[in-house]
Amino acid sequence: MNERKTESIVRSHFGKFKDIIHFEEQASDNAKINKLLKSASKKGSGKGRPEFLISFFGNSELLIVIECKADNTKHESPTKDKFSEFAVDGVLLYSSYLSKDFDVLAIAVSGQTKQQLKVSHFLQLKGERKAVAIFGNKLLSANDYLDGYLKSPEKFRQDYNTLLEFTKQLNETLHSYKILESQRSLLISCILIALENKAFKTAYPLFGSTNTKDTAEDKKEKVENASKELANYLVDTVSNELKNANIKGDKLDNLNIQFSFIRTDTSLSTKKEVLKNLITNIDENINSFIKTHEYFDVLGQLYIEFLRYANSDKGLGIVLTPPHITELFSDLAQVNKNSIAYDNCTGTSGFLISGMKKMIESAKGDQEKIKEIKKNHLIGVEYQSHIFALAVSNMYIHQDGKTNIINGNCFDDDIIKLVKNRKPTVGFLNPPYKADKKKDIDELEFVLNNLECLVDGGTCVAIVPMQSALAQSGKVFELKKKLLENHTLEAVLSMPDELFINSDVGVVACIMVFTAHKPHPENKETFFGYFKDDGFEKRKNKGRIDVYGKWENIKDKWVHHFRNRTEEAGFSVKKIVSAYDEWCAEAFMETDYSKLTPSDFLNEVKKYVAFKVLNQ
Amino acid sequence: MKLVELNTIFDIQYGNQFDLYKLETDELSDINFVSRSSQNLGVMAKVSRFNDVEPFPAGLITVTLGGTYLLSSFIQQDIFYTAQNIKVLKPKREMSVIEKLYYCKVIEANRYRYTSHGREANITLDTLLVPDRLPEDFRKIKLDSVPLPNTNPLIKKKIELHPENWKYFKYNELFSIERGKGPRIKDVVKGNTPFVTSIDSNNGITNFIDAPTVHSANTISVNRNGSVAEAFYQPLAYCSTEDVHIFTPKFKINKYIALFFVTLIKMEKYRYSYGRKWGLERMKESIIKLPVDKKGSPDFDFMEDFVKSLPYSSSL
Repeated sequence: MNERKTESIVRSHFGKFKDIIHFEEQASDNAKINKLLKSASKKGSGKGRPEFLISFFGNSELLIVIECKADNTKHESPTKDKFSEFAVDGVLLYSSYLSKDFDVLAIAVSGQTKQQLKVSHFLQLKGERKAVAIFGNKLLSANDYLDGYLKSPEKFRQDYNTLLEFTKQLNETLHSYKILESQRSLLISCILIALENKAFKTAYPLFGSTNTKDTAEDKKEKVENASKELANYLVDTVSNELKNANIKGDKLDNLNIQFSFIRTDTSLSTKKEVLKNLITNIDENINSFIKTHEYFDVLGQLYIEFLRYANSDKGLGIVLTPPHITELFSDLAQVNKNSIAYDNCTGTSGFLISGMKKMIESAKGDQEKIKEIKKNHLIGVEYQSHIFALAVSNMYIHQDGKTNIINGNCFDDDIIKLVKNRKPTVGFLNPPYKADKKKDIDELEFVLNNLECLVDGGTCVAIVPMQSALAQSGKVFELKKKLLENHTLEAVLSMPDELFINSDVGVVACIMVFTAHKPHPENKETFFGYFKDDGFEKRKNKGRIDVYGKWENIKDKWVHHFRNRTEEAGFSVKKIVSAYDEWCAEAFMETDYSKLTPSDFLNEVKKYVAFKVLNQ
Repeated sequence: MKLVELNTIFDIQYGNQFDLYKLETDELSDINFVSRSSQNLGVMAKVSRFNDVEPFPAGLITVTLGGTYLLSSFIQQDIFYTAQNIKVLKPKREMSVIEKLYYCKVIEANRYRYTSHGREANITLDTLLVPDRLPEDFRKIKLDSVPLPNTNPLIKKKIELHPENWKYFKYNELFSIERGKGPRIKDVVKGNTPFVTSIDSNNGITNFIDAPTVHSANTISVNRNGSVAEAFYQPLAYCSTEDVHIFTPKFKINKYIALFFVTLIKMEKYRYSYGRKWGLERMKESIIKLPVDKKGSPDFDFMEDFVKSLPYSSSL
């Protein structure tokens, strides 16, 4: 047995990528790495000496550490604590030290020939307690490692947290410049669009700079005018970008009006460096996030954060859908490259963006198809003009065809006709929730409106307040009746109680899934899910987040049960229902008595005894 | 009475300033986690040891500095960690339990000086003026005059549950169910009649009020609103509100059988939320799974014996 053979396989594998990586053995030139390895010896004391250390020229956060063993039987021990004998055990030990300052990809390799080679990968992000398995059992190219790391769910969670923190700071900064809550998202979206323009990106840092030929007077004037000029340049750039993206006439005028406040805002257009610093910050933090994690509704997240405390939109019933639920929608509707998605209450276009992501994934790199998807497969209608501006910006940032978001009322005949012509196959919506029970349009009317526009057999997924599912009399009951007369109710999924807590709204919601234009058959069994646990937990200042990374698995279970209509005590049930019934799992599910234990009874006995003691 | 500053009697320090979610909860651990709650001596959970942090020893006093019930003071019975914004007091001299309890009450009597999010107690607690020693009258109190509940079961036999053999019954076969009645909350005056509202603690009783009783003893109260599906056995006649439904049994009930039902009724909690209440009609049609005898009727003797076989049943 000779470990050198294993090492030489690894060495020659990574030798191919010398142009993008820095390859080191046993120790590093990097003082930070050496310091971390100082007491990381596999034998318990002294300096750690991992076989290989790889860092990337383009990314200073990721570090690859590799341990080799000649013998396959020395690959991994069951207890993972025999550091010097087993490859996995050893590399995880190094990773636990190195992850104090780096995102670490730990690779364990055993075997003396390429055929024998056994490989395990683990990712341990900076500050995380545990390493998680990632990739398969083969060595990959350096680029694949970098890419896989950047797009891993773990990295996403970390980046997303950083984004949330940045958003908070940004909100405070904008607050100190006295920019209205409702204008903050518009400003950010404006900046993000402008940054798409190469000329702008190069030119904005130069505003207000002077050169040696300038007289003192010139210098003063240049600095004073710089903010004003930059504000105008920003808005003009965006206007041009939108025009080039085929947005014309009223639509463009409307958008120009929405952004025009930037030209005159006191802080932005007169104070030195304020706007410039903002742009730099946003480029570094938000833009880089968008570029790494494509097709994520970033503006929606900003919008939620900016309005969390000033929820002036509560009266309008605007509650943005959390991103993990928009993603779930696309899975429930089985969105693929041939789907055409329609959202009649677009908001910041969260559903369309997650739909776009699924469509593009399924196009598998077919550029023609991707172009067509962006151009023709995403249709949205938004009533409020400032949110419409956000929706368009958001789609722009994600490089869609940009012209399919309509500013108007989804109940207008013209708009219905226009949308129908596009033959949408999938409908998504989170309608505005009623504030005034008598005057406001009912949520289910929006659902009917969405279904009307879909092709025969199309799938509509809607998230609505629980009350819409429960009504057994009155107007909502009539709407339930109408829904079943024209469409098939496939499923109703009860959602976690505090799903909308990030928007500071306490409504309990459920997801309804319909098949369009197929009247509900009399003996149809509808699927009801009691999907109350999405793994998210509330954290101070962050709202509900996927703290432990449970969502991926939970989502798989939800989608699997829905797709196969699987019944499980305490989780899901099938039932034939009419409009008169409550449409929810809570009403039909069997209580899981098998979970009953003597300690449940004992608990009640103790409480009663305590009550007696306290009150005697 | 001579007043002295609190820090002349106690060594005062901040607690651990831990967040519960960062710790690992563990039912079997002997470390309590003390938060700013005013209930249960402030203990929220049991947690595992965190890194190498030594827990505080039992017998010290915890004082909350913020929250609605600030200055809630408790003698901790086990070793503990604390949450944010709690101070830990260690007597500088030998101190009896009665004396510690006295100082807890003395500290709490200063609550009026502070408000949560307004003037909080962080800075000034240490110099709060308190009596320098336990007054004579208090020295006479004997703690063992309060009996501890007997933990023994009434029946020394292990009885097993087999829910898989149980049968379903409709609620309205077993109980007549009606809406709770009584005075409106804003009209109540203190008295002797238990007033049951839709809360989840203290057997549903928020107050004792001066009003004629409406509902009989030996019934079960079940919340339709508020903390929905909380259920309590009511041993005395009482008044209630519309948010509570009254279950009058159609069979002979006692406290043992009642507690068996209470446990099962609570299992239905998951069906209800802010968006879905347990209305009267829904309640009558609801079903419950019960142990049955050979004839297929509910086996009330089994229920009674089972509860009697549990620890503490001799204190019921």
